[in-house]
Amino acid sequence: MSIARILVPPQAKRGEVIEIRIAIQHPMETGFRMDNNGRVIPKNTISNLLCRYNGVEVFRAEMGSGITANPYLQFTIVAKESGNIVFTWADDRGEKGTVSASIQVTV
Amino acid sequence: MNRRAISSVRRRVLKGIAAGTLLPGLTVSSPLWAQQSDAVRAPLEALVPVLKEITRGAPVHESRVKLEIPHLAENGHLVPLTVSVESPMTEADHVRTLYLLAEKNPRPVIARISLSPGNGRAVLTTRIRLSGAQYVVAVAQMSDGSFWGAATDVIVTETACLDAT
Repeated sequence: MSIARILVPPQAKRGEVIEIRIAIQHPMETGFRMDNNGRVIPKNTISNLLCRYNGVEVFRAEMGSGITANPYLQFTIVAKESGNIVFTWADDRGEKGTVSASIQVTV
Repeated sequence: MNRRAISSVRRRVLKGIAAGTLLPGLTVSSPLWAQQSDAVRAPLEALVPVLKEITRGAPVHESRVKLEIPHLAENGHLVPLTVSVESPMTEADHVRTLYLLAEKNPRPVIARISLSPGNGRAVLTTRIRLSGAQYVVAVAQMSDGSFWGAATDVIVTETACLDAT
C-alpha cells in the first residue's frame, strides 16, 4: 500500500476555486530498467487515478512511465458543498490506494 | 543547434500546429515540412502517429493552451510542468481531455487527464520524465470536440533513460 499526502484547504467559500494537491509515494517503474542480475524490472506505474468530490468524478489521470517517481499532481475544483474529496488509484500490479480529506464550505 | 535555430524551429512547429499540419499532416509533401532539417524531422515524425490517434485527423489549433516548462532542465528524471487552457469551464464549454506528449520518450504519451466543469479552471501542474532534449506537446480536447495545442522545446542535460541507451 503506497503512502500519499493530499493538501485540501479545510475551509472554502461556496463557488470558490480551490487548489488540490496530491503526492503519492510510488516508484513509477518504467519497465526499461534492469536489476542487478540484468533482468528487466517490469513496468509498474499508477495507470489510473480518480478524484471524487462527494461521489462525483471531477478529475482523472491516466499516467504512464513519463510521470516521475512519487507522482505529484496539482489542479483545482470548485467548492460547492461540504463533504469529502476522495482519491483512489490502482497501479499495474493491481495494488490499490486511497486517500481522502474533508472540506467545510461556507456560504 | 544554437538557441536562435531552436526558436526558429519552434515557430515553424507552432505554425504547423496552427495550420493543422503537425498532426495528420506534417505531411511530407508540405513546403513547411521540406524546410525542416533531418535532425528536426526525425523526432517530430515520431509524434505524428500519436497525434493522429488522438485527434483522428482533426486540426490542432494554436493558442488557448499554455505550457510552462523550464527551457533548460538539468535532470530528465524530474521536470516540473504546468499546463493551462483558456476555457470558461462551464457545462457548455470546458476542457474534456488533456494530453501530455513527449516526442523522444520511449512512450510518447506521458499522461491523459480528464477534466470536468467541476474543476473551475483548466490548470494542471505535475512533474514529468524526459528522455533527452526534445519538444513537449500539450493537446487539449474541448467539450465541442475541437483540439488546441502548444509545443515547447526543452533542453535536458541528463536524460532519464540512461539505462535504456
